[in-house]
Amino acid sequence: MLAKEKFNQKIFLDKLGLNISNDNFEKSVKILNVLCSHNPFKTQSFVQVFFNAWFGKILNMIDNNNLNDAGARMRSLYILFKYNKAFNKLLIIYLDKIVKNKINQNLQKEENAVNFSMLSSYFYEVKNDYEAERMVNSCFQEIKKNLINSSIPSTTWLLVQKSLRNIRNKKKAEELLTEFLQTIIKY
Amino acid sequence: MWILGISKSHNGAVALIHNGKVISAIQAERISRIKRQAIELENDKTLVSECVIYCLNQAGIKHSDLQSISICTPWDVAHIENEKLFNLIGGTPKNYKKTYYVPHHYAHAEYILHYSNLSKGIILVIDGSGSKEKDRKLFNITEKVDTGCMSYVDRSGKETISAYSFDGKEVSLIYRFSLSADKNNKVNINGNGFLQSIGHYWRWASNYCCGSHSEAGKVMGLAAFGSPEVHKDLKILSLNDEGFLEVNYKKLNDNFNYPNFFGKDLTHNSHYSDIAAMVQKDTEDVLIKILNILIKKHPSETLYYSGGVALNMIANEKIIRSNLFKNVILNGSVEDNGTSIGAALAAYNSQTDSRSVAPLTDYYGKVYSDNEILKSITKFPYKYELLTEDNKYSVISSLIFENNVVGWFQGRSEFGPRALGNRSILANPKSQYTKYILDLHIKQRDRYRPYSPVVLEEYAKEYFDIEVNSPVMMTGGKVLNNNFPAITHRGNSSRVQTLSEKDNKVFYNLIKSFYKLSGFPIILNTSFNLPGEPIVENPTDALNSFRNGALQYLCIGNYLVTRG
Repeated sequence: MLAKEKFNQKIFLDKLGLNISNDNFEKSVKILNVLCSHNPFKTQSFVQVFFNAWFGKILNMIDNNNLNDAGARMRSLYILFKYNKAFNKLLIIYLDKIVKNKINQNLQKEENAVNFSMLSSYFYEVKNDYEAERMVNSCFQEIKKNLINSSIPSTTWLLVQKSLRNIRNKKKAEELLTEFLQTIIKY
Repeated sequence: MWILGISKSHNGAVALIHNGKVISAIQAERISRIKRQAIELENDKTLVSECVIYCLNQAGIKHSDLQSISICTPWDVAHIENEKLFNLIGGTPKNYKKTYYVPHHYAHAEYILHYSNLSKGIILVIDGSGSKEKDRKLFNITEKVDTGCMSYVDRSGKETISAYSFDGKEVSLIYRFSLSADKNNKVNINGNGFLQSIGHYWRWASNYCCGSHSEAGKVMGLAAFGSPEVHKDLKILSLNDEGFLEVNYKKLNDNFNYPNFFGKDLTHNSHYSDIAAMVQKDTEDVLIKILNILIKKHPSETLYYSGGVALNMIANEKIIRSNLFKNVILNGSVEDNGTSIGAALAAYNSQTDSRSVAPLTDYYGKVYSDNEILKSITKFPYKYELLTEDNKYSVISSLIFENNVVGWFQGRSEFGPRALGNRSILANPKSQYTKYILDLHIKQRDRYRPYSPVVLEEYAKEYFDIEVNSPVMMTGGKVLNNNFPAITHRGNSSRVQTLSEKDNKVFYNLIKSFYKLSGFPIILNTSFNLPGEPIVENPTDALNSFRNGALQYLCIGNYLVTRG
């Protein structure tokens, strides 16, 4: 229940900042929920504050070569929006280090599809269309693997949308999608 | 008599009428390319003057020819000195008569009357909120108030529902709901900024389910996946027998504490779809109740219905099927953009003591010449070919039949929120992949959202269970067979555009050609825009959208543009 009179927005914004700086993702989402519930008219600006603070935190992690944690946070954020220009810049900084230094990422099975999609975005941005397409393909293969005997979660569709955007040849993207759909729709 | 109408609003627009006939109208978003672009007037000189020029050019007149300007706003009314106003519109009229200030709901009412045969009836206007009560004395077009008017008005109020009786000549206020808009007032204490308003109930739902205030359309689509039974006992929206409305925000706050602030795709998410279904059902029930109350006091055969809430085509269908009225008149631009036309028509009515009527349409935008089109095309690196008029129909219908998605840019742009076949993306409704390709690749939409069909009017009842024609996509009906997965929403519902030859000959010919090829007179028709952008207005917008998007084909005038 919302006790509007007692709600102090500043305190919660401070808590949000603190939890992000302590790398507490779940708690930061909970605090964002409280902020948005109490002041729905400011939802978009709270969400912006949330993302900006996380982007700052991730940049800090990258600067400190804490690439495992930075990668984990980026994968968490990647599936929260369709497009974010600032995030894409961050993605290049992070994946530049990973790709150029050939760093192995410790990924859970379900993180592979997100990672491939992020890589497709990176290769698209650095104009390596061949690799971008290859990463989209790998992303779709991962999705297919994970879908056996399960329904299709909305995150999957988001990953497909985001990945397809990274294929510059739109005809090719449509062909790849059709091929993907032919195998996936039965699920 | 040239009158310029301005909607100074969150959905800003400018319209031009001549002797009561709408000549041109443009939403500011189509010029600025920012979705739901507001016109604040005083701070938007460049934008306002561009919109005005757009309208004047279509009419072939100049600023000097204008005789009146009529302004409508849901915000504070502020009278503007002539000199300042002329500066804002970018030129000075020669024989200027007057600036009109029109109440918001009244402008909606005048606009919907324009599409009638002026038969007696009830006009119902429902939106988020309209004029402020404190501004009543500032209007120089005033409403006549019926002696038996049901009125729930606070001095700090904003109109959220208005109903008028129309006797064939005069419009009289018979019902007004306009509770306080002061957030500290007891009626708003739990509202967190939302008012006692059906439109604001939808804004709440839009914000809660989609993370943004302006996604009521998404909530409507989502509602089909939910069950209204789940929250039926909450009774969030209610209307008593005396017409007093209540939105119980306290109950909303107590029961729903997980807003989808990231705007994630809600496919397969019953928490949100059940809420959407509740809001939809509440709205339908309250609308029917309001109409029952009104018709009891003012027996009428005709309902004129406008305001943003009238975009709810499922509720509109319920109203039509309720048989409370013999005729239900709906127009396309029921949102604030339409008040630019409504305000101008109100001024015309005030000056001439007469009212003009016209066939229902939303094609009020500009036609771009072949030269303008070609000039734009040659700025882009795409292959193009000039088709003959006849060849155009067979080539494009073949492309669609072969499951290609085609951008279609023809004739006058549409004024309202619906693409009605002049700024559209078209696809084959029968293919099982069409919706996926649109959702995932071309339109990048959430999976639960539906696409609309356009059907040749003469065949509409063979394919859809519809009561009346729907030329501006304001009603819908069940799809009668299961051969069209791309346009069939959950529960077989569909928002249908019925198309006659006189509505739009070019579009009609295309669908007729497709019919010959496919055996069915239906095409999927969705708006020509990229995610988050307004519908394209001019050839360059269309080509920019083509460049940045994923379409393979664009038919623009008689030119077919391909990626090659």
